[in-house]
Amino acid sequence: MPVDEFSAKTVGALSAREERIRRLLLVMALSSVSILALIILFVFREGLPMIWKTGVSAFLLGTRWAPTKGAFGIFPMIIGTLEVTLGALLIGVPLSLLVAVHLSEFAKPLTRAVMKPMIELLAAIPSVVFGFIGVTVIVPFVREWFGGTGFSVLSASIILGVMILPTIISITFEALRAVPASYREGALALGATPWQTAIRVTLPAARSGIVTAVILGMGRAMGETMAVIMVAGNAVVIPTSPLHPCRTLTSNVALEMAYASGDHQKALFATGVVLFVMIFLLNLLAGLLVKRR
Amino acid sequence: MKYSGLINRCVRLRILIFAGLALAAASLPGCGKNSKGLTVAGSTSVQPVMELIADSFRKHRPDQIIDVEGGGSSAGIMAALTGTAQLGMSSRRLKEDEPNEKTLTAITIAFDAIAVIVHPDNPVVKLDLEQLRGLFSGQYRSWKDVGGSDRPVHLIVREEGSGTRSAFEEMVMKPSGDGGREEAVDAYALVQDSTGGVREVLRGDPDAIGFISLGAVTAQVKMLVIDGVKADFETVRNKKYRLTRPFLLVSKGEPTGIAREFVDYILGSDGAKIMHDEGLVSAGR
Repeated sequence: MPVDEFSAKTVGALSAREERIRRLLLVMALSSVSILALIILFVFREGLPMIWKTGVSAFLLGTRWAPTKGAFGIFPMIIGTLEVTLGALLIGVPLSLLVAVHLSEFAKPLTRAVMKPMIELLAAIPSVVFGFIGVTVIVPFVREWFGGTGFSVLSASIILGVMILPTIISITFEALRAVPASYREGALALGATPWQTAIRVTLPAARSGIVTAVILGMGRAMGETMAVIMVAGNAVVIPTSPLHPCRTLTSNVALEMAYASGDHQKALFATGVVLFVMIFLLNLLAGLLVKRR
Repeated sequence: MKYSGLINRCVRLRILIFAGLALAAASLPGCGKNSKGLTVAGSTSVQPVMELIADSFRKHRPDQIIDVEGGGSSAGIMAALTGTAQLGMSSRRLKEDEPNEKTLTAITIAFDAIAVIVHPDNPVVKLDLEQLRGLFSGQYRSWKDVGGSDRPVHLIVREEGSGTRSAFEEMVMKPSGDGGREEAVDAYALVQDSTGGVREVLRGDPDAIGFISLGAVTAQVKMLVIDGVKADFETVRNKKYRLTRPFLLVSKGEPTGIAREFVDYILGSDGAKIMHDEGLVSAGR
């Protein structure tokens, strides 16, 4: 009996301590959430009134951006953001998928052990370094081979295409590794070649992971600022050719923030609101796609 | 199935939180900011020389804290108006819609010239204002149109809100004589957010043309003769060079106390010497 009493007491004291720790951790977790809440509050408080003032459709669909002269249309920048993101995906996704298939299905363990960390290291390179390489290598290359100024949708897409590689490769790799070995064994036993197995069986089986990878890469491309400012040319036009310059939503904020005041500054916050909503919808889409698995 | 229900709830919760925060956002009050001592804020074109003069001034008045901040001309004028800074720096004249003489006193401290620069390989050496306007409005798309080789023109401008850009628009894009309508800068012009950025792009592109402060011109770029006048100290001082702009200090009412002392120091011989070293022409006696 005394033994039982003792242990019950200890358990009681322990569980009270556990409870305190649990609460402390909850407070920590809430603090990070509240930071997010504060950011949203601030951006929307500064930006929303400007959108109402300009008019939602005039702001979103207006094509003239001359904030010091009272014109606040961000349509060219929405299109610019979408074009650059699409371009980055066109360049980055096929490359990423093939690299991930190679690493997961064909590479020898030693090759994988060397290549995987190197690809992940690509994510650690600061974006300004990518931008610098863009300005000194990609932009002159595009200017000489394709014409124009070189500061273009194409240059930005190439740089972003490289920047999203580590994100997409890593997640796709994990998704491919998660496909049960029995799938591959079954395909091989039916006479499929390793390539056919990888492309027709393993890759489709990892579909939902790959979709997540692409959407995360897309978010990265959409939110990238520094590298894009350096290579995209930043002209506010609706680009009708990959060689035209363009301005993305993030670039617009970073580019004009320094000297903006009054309505101009509020319009930049409003640009942030639009970007926020776009990224949020993208995350929502990712959530829904994963759900459909 | 179990999971899909959970995720579905998460998604719905996310929408709710997001919408709630967005709504609450509109109703929060703003917060103010106070400052002490002599604060000089505004144009980043004026800022470098102002910092040098402030350094020198501190040696005479070590008891005073002089704070020089950037932010741009518009922000500087606003800061002077609201009292966030005693003195605002502006690299352009006050606009008509800005509360001028009645509340704000503007003191011209220096003249700066805007240099039009091209790649050293470009054969063009001079332009008149008409041609310059034609180039930047997108009317002339080839260097042939202004006496150069048959190459496309690549325009480089500063971003909206930059003092250098608004001064350029004011002096170049408006046809001479009052009532002339200002022409818009070609939308396809590349936009850079710093003087260094404009210079760097131009250095790599033989077809490019841009504009920067005279003091920022280096040997790596070629400065054009505008309307037959080359920008230098002499032509800026006697205003023969067309693209000169004033550097202003603005204050609410006449500057008093330490602000007055600082303004006098800037306009005095020490200030003039520092400005000269920085490629500016002092407006002082």
